[in-house]
Amino acid sequence: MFSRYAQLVLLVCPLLAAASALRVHHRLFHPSLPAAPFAERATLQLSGSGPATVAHLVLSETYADDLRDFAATAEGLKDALYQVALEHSADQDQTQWATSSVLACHLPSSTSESFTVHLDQNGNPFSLDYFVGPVPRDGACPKRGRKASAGSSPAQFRPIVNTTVVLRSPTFPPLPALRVPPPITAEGKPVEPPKEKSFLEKYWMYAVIALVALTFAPSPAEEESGGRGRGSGGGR
Amino acid sequence: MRLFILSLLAACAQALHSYEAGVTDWHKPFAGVPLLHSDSTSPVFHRSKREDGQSSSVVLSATQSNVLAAYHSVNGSLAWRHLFEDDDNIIAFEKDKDVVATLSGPGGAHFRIFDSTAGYLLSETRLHDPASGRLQEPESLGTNVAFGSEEKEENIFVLTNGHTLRRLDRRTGEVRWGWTAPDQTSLVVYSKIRVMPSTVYLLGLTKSFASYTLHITSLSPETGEVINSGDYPSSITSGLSEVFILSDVNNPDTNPQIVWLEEGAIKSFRLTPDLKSKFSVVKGAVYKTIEDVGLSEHGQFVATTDDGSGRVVKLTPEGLKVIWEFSDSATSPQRSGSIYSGGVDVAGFPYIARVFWMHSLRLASAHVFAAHLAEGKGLVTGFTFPFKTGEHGVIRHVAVEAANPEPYRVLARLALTTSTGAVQMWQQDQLQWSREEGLADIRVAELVELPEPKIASHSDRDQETFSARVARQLLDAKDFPQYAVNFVRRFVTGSYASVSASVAPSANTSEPLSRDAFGFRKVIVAATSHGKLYGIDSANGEILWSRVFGLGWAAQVGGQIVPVKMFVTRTVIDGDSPQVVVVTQRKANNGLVDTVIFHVDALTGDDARDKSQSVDVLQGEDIVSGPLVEAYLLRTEAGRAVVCLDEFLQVHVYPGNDEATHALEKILPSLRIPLRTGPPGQRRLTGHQVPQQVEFTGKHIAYPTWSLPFPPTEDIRAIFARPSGPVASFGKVLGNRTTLYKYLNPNLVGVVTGPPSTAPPSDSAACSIYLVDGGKGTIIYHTVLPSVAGACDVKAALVENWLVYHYYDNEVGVNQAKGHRVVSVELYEGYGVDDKRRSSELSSLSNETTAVSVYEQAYIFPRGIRTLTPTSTSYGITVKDIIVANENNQIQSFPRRFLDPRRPKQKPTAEEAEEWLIQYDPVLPDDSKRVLSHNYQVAKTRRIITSPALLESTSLVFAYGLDLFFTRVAPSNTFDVLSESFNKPQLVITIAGLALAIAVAKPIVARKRLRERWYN
Repeated sequence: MFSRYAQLVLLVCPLLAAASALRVHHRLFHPSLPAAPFAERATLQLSGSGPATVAHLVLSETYADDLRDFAATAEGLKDALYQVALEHSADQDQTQWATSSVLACHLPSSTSESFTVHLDQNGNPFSLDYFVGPVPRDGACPKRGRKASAGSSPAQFRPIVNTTVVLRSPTFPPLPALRVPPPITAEGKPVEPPKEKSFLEKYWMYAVIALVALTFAPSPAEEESGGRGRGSGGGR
Repeated sequence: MRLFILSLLAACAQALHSYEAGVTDWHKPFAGVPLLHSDSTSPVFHRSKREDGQSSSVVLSATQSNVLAAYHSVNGSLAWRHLFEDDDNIIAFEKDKDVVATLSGPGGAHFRIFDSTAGYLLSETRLHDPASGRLQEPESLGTNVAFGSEEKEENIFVLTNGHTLRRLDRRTGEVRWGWTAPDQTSLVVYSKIRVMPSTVYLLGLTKSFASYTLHITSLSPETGEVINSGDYPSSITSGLSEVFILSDVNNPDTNPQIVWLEEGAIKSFRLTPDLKSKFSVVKGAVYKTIEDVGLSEHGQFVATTDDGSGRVVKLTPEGLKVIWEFSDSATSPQRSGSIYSGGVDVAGFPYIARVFWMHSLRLASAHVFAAHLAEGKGLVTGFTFPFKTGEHGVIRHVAVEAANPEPYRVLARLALTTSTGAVQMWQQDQLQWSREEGLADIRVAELVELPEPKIASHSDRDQETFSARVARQLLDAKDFPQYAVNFVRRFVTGSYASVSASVAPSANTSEPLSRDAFGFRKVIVAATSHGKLYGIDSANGEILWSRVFGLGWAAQVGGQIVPVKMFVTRTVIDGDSPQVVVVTQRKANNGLVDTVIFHVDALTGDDARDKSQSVDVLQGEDIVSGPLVEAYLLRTEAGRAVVCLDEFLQVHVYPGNDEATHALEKILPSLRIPLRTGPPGQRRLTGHQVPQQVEFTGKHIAYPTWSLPFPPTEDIRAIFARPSGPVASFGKVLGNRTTLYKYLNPNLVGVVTGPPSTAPPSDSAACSIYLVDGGKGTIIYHTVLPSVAGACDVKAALVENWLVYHYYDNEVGVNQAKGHRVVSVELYEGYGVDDKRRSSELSSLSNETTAVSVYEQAYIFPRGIRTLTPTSTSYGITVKDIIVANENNQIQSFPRRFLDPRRPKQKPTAEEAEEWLIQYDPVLPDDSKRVLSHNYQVAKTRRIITSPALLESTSLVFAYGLDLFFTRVAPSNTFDVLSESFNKPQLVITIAGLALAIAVAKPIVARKRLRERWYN
């Protein structure tokens, strides 16, 4: 059996009200079918506030049954869509809800699903993205094998165990990194940076050491200096 | 830093050169289509005396583009124009001698005086807070300007807000006195002023149960004290258009009279300061309308009798008298209704012109009446003029100026405004000039490529015999020496086509349209909201052809064609002459809206459907009987087709032939259409797919698959998509040899949202920018921007993986200041370098579409902008600059390198320097060398279109709004053309020298070798 409390991912959500609930609905949709109303799929429990907001997806009692019904309905229908909707707190009109769709044919082979709830700047959810995975790169329906029989299809829509819920807040545009004004003193004058020391000021000690070394160094022997003089003369 | 200076130097090298100004670009200034709904703003002649005693005439007009303009009557050039701010609508102007006074803003909040010959703003006065201005319907109601009479000509009397009269100084605009009606809450709205030497009369209407009652107040012009005031028993049903005050400047002793129409009778009332006199009635006929033709100060107006005949009525000391009836002016199926207009000559005598269209002769006719001629008996001179109704629609307004060079001879000049927005000057039956002011209101435009020039060929070459061919070729061979000389000269001197030369054709225009060597010359096809389609030569801005949109069945009831989209359905690459489809909405005057498609040849303007002659109006095809929701261009194997979605989401395809239908059916399963749905204020983005099956109507009906509502405080303001240009590289190789792969989701659309227009303005309202996957509704990027007092002014452009947006930030944060900002955002695949996801071919259903890493940086922008657009080139290799129309009425380019979101905050490392990244600087340099429009004033630009040339390095830029401006830019310099300064002779001489050296050295070497063999 799968866990009724799906494993979750949390995201920074500073403004979200603590412990509020959102209802997520679902249905199977195909243009040739009469438009079915959405059925409740889960409740999104949000607890905590700020960075610690945690979202729990509490599945509804009828979830597994609904899936079984959907599987039966989707049988033989090409391009049937599995739609997930976020209930609008102020609007009972289902056409006004945020709706996200995936191809129903991807559901049987899916091993993970993800919900992304988008929040506005005040932390109120307004939209929902729903994905199942894995989905082939071209998004095409998997080709049905010869062995797949009609009888086994109702079991194909199994609830997906690996569910991720992400809350996403809008970003704000980056701010231009302005140049910092020069620091000023209490009198309002710009602080003058300390003047860089001159070469002598910095390295006088080495010069002194060198000078001392030269001064106190034993004077070279007479012959040696004479020899050097000859050598140079020979060079010419 | 050194690198930064270097880059700046490089930037200077790419700037506009003075020798290119006016050669590679052109600019057409316009004033806009004249406002005709009110006499106080419609075109009028104005003659002012110059210092040398001569007088010059201009046509003054306030326009729909909110411009006050003066055209020279002689040649139609723009003498001057004054651009009013968008929230400061011109509601009235009045001329006198050397000045023009205007009232603008709600209730006439601003008063300005201009010099009438040069357009200098002499004074500007704010009469009241625009927020307290009363909005009237029509806008000009409750406002008026009158100049003081002869002795008091330094005064101007200004009526604003329907109840405030001020006397202002003509020179300084200083207020001398002001009078406000004591009971402002009453239903009296004053609307007219008449200044007499001793009294100022104010005429207003009081609203009573079913009609209006006259209300008159007389004031002292010196002090502004009320002399008398009161209601006068009258029952006026048509409002102020049929009430006016008559006086006679040539006969100042005559008391002015108020004239109005009441139940078919012209009634008048003599104005005296004490307002005590009885009204009188003009007898003799039942009148339908009375019309002030602009001669109320000369005591004349036109009354139309029950059968449509026009009569001139004059104010005389004895009262009102009918002095003339225009012959054959009764309503008739032979001719259109008459337009009456009044004007004066140099001496100040009044003339009244009657202009009408004769259906049988297909000519326009004008009758000009002069009451003072023929010894005071009145004289009418008539002429017909060949007005081209197929090209300019119908005449909407006439202004007249007349001259009387000798007795019994009247010369009239007519300034016509047509329904297509043209302003024309006719002197008798000669067209003096014509201005296409409708071009100030372009709705959609496209740049269309031209075919290659055709080489002269003998058409009968296939049939000619062998001997004839030999003879012809021998004959042709006589030109060979000249050809050879030319070839050598061209080869040596290198006089090839230059990229900085004009591509305009020479004076003889007999050659068919063809492109130049580099593809700089194109046809700009533009459709205006005044029902006209133009083909404009991009080389010089000349109009090549123009067509008037036909109204179809709505011609019976009248209507308007509003262009919505334009698509190039056939290009020269397809082999034949290019074609353009314009998708329009026809709003008939009976309230029905239809979607009509017009299909033309872009080179000639001919109807590509062959349904209408080129001299006639262009007939369209009604593709949808109802409004259009969205239209797209579909590129299929069978060519290009236009797909329209109606309000029931039915899919219509044009052309409706089998090829297009089959091509559509083939790509139906892959179509994902995001549409704006929902009522205004709660608009959302809804994704649609189209099923393979058709409904019983024979059409496919799209069905919604996903829905993206925005937060309740936001409504969709704009949707922008990525231009469908080629992408040269799918990644960016960094300095450290890793690669960032561009996020190139083909379904990406941008959405700008803002507070609903219905919501009260509040500072907490926010604007947002979204990047949405249009195939599934996934939000890829969402950022919230501050609004300015509840208004959003966000401009954004998306190209490849690069989003640039501009906004005004009025929030002052820590180390931040208010100002215009531009944010540059780049999207890359995956979550880091070398994370390749092949997003360009990824299905929207895959979760990997959300795997995006965002690089963004903000810069301070020098000023506000009207629109921005990236450059485009034929292969997308050249760097993309951003072209901006700024608030200073300039078109300016901003290099991509300054807007790169990866500019390092510190000194660039060797690796970053290798990528040519320059150090971050918060302020984008406002480089005047990059103002593409140099000294032109490119006013009120609404959109900029960029289009590739044949040269990869060059992008063509066309800006339209009030003015038209065209230029070309080379963001990475013209790397694919030899520079102008390239020394070709030197190269030739070097090669020739080397060849000579080889020729000399070769026998020497051969001899040497031979000798070596012989002796070794």
